[in-house]
Amino acid sequence: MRLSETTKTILTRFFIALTIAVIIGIYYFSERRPFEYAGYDKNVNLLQRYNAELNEAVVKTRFSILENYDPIDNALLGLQSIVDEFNAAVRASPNEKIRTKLYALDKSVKLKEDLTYTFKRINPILINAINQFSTLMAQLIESQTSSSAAEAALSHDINFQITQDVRNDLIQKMNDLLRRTLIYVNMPDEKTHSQLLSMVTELEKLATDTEKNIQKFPSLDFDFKKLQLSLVYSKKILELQPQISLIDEKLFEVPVIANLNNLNEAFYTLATNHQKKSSTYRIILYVLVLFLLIVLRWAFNKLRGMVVALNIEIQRKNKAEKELEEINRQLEQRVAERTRELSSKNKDLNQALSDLKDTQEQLIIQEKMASVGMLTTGIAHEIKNPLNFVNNFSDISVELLNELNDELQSSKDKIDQNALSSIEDLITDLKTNCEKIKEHGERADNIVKTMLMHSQEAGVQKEVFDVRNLMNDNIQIALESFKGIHEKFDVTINKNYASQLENVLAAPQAIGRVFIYVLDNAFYAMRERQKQSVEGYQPTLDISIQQVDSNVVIKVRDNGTGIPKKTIDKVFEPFYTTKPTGKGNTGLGLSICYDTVVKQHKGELRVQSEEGVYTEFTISLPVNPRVGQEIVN
Amino acid sequence: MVKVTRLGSIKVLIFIQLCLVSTVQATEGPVIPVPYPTSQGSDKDELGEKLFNDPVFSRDHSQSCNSCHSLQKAGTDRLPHYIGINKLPGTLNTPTVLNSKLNFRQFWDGRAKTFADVIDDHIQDKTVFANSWEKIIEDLKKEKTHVDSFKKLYPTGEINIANVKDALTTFLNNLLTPDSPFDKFLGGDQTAISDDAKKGYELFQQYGCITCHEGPNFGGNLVQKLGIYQDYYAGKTPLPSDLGLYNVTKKENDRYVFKVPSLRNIELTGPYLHDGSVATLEEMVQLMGVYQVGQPIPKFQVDNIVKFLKTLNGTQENQ
Repeated sequence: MRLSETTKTILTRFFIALTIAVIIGIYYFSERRPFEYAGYDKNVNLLQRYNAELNEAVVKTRFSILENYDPIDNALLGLQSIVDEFNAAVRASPNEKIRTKLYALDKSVKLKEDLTYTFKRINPILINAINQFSTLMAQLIESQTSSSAAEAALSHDINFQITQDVRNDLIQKMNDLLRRTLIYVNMPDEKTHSQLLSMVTELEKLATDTEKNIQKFPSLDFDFKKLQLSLVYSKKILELQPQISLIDEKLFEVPVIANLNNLNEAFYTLATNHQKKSSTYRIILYVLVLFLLIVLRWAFNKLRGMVVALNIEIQRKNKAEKELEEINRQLEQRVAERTRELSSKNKDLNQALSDLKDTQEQLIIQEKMASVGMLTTGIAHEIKNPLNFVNNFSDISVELLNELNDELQSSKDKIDQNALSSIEDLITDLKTNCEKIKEHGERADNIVKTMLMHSQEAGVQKEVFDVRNLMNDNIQIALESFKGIHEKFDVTINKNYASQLENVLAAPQAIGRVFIYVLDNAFYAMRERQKQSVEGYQPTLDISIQQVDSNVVIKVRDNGTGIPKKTIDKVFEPFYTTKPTGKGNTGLGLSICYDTVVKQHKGELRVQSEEGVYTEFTISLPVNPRVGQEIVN
Repeated sequence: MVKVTRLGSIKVLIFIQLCLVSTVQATEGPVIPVPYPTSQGSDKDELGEKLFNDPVFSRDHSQSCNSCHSLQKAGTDRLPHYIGINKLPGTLNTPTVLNSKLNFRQFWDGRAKTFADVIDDHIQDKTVFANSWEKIIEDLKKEKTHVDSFKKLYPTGEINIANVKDALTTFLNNLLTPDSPFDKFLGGDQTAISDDAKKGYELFQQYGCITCHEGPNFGGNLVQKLGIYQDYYAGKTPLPSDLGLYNVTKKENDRYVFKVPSLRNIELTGPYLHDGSVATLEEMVQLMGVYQVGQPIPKFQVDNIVKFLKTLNGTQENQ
């Protein structure tokens, strides 16, 4: 039958638990459960001791070594208490064999007690009788012996011999009785007892006879009363001695020790059995414990095997997980890479697209600019000549008018005063007209000259210079000229120049003009804003010059009015201006700047702005533009 | 030791005999001083005293233990015969409870081995308490102080026969009268008793009184027939109570056998003899001389003996 792993485990656990329970059970039965009569040996010894004490006390009191009966009573109490303890033990754990033996012991102890009872009753009387008897007898014998010695001096007396004979007879008999009685009380036997009895009777008879015939023995001074009394005691001795001998005999025959030994043997048998059983249990216990140890060892091994297997499995899993993680990571990395590449490409594409758009715009602008430039240059050339005529002839006309006036003055007397006056008025008007023509002709000439600047770049000599110095000079110029026109203008200029900057190869006059235009526009915008703005507005101009790759990038940022979004595309167009016309504003400044930077110097000019916040012009100049000249020309 | 020593040969003979019987040890004297009580004044002792004075033991609640064994009268009633329930006199003289612990048996006929036996006997005795344990326990439980005392002093905490007996036994065990002049004399104080008393003690030994009246209690540890050398009841009609041990054993030999009473506090515990028929110690000593030791004692010696006996009054704590 195949068992599932779980069932096996449960069975193993159950088995181990069962074994432990059995071990504990056996342990309890063999070790914990005490022998029901434990301590019996101590009580047996005690009982033996009490019995010995009792015997000793009886013997001692019997021979007056001990003169009170307390030890006997104590020994008896002890005996009884031990028997009571045994009885209690047997009542607690009944055992027929023990009970029988104990009953016998109990009975023998009781018998001994009864005998002791009687002994205590007889012994004092006997001892007293012996004492009284021996005292009285000794007194009698002594007095008669001394009387006999005293009477020896009166030997002439007729009765002396008779008296002496009687006295001697009495002394002899009393002595005999005393000695034999004393021997008897210590070594009593039937024969002596009867002999003593007859001796007492004899002595009594003798005493009675002697007393009756006392007149025959006038010198016999004998205390018959004392003799009678001592004989009473003697009789008492003879009466009690056999009794006490019997009791003695019985007392020492009481099988207390024999019964105790029987009981002890029974106890011992039980104890041995108990011990044997305990030993057997203990062997089983040892075997079971050993078995349990083996099972536990086996279970431990199994567990260890399982743990090892589990460990390997865990390690394998961990490894696989790590690998998977690595793959994932790589995959992610690759995806990220691809994404990055893609986005970069995308950006590049966007960049390219915007570049393309820029280029396209630039191209368009360039085209536009080029065509506009060519157009303006062409127009300028074409207008320049007629304009020269206009200007020159207006000039001449003014001179002629002056000459006419001089002529008129010299001949004024000849001319009617009225006509003179109107002629003078007409000349003044003509002069004024001519001057207006000259003035506006010069203006147009200026415009044309400016327009011609578009095509004047070729004539500007390029040289290597430091943009920073150029900028500083032009700030100065621009600020002064602006302040010359507009009073009360205060501007904060923050310069942020790179300390390390390459010199550029460019036309300094052209670039300087560009700076002036840009700066002037900035100042104008800021002033415009200052006019409309509230208090606390501080015009601030940030100028930065930095080297980016092989370009020097100049940024001019003002916090002026800014350029509206819809017009920002037009700022570089020629003739576009937001400034009021007629004050020398041609709308060509930025257009010229653009031409100068982009066309002449192959740089870049860009504008960024937010209306009402800032405007920033960025001028990027290549450090060493190799190409350019041919394209422009 | 044997007191007869005038005849050297006899003395030697006896001495040799004694030596033969057992290895000679220091001989133990016939009398021993009364020991001191061990648990006097303990809670149990006090509870026992309360019970001793509690009339709950008699059926009609007319008498307590103390009614007869009056501690104010040396543990007796000083009457010839005890007066039990219904005021009916008995036929025996009340023995003292003082030093009764030192007796090997209780009652004149020694029928009780322990105080518990005595208590049982008295309760059942129609002439003493004529009561039953059931009623006594029930009555005792009515007294709150008893209930509290028993609860405090006993593991079972209840008033039951065993606990009542235990309390009373504790009290009785402590009724000892140590430090009598004679005990002091025994202890070595020669001035504790008079020369007459010393002479009396000598005579007491010489006449052999001491062979029965021995031990710590001067008696009380053996029984003896009244009338050893002469029949005490010759020409008299003995009452049933005069039969003594015979009433217990029904053995002819035990007729007129009584427990030898203690001589401790004997001056205070008269009248004497089991039936209280002897009023004075002098009479009693003479009577004992004739019937028990076999020879009449001269008057002048009786006086000395009585003087000695009066030195046996000990110190009684509970009065």
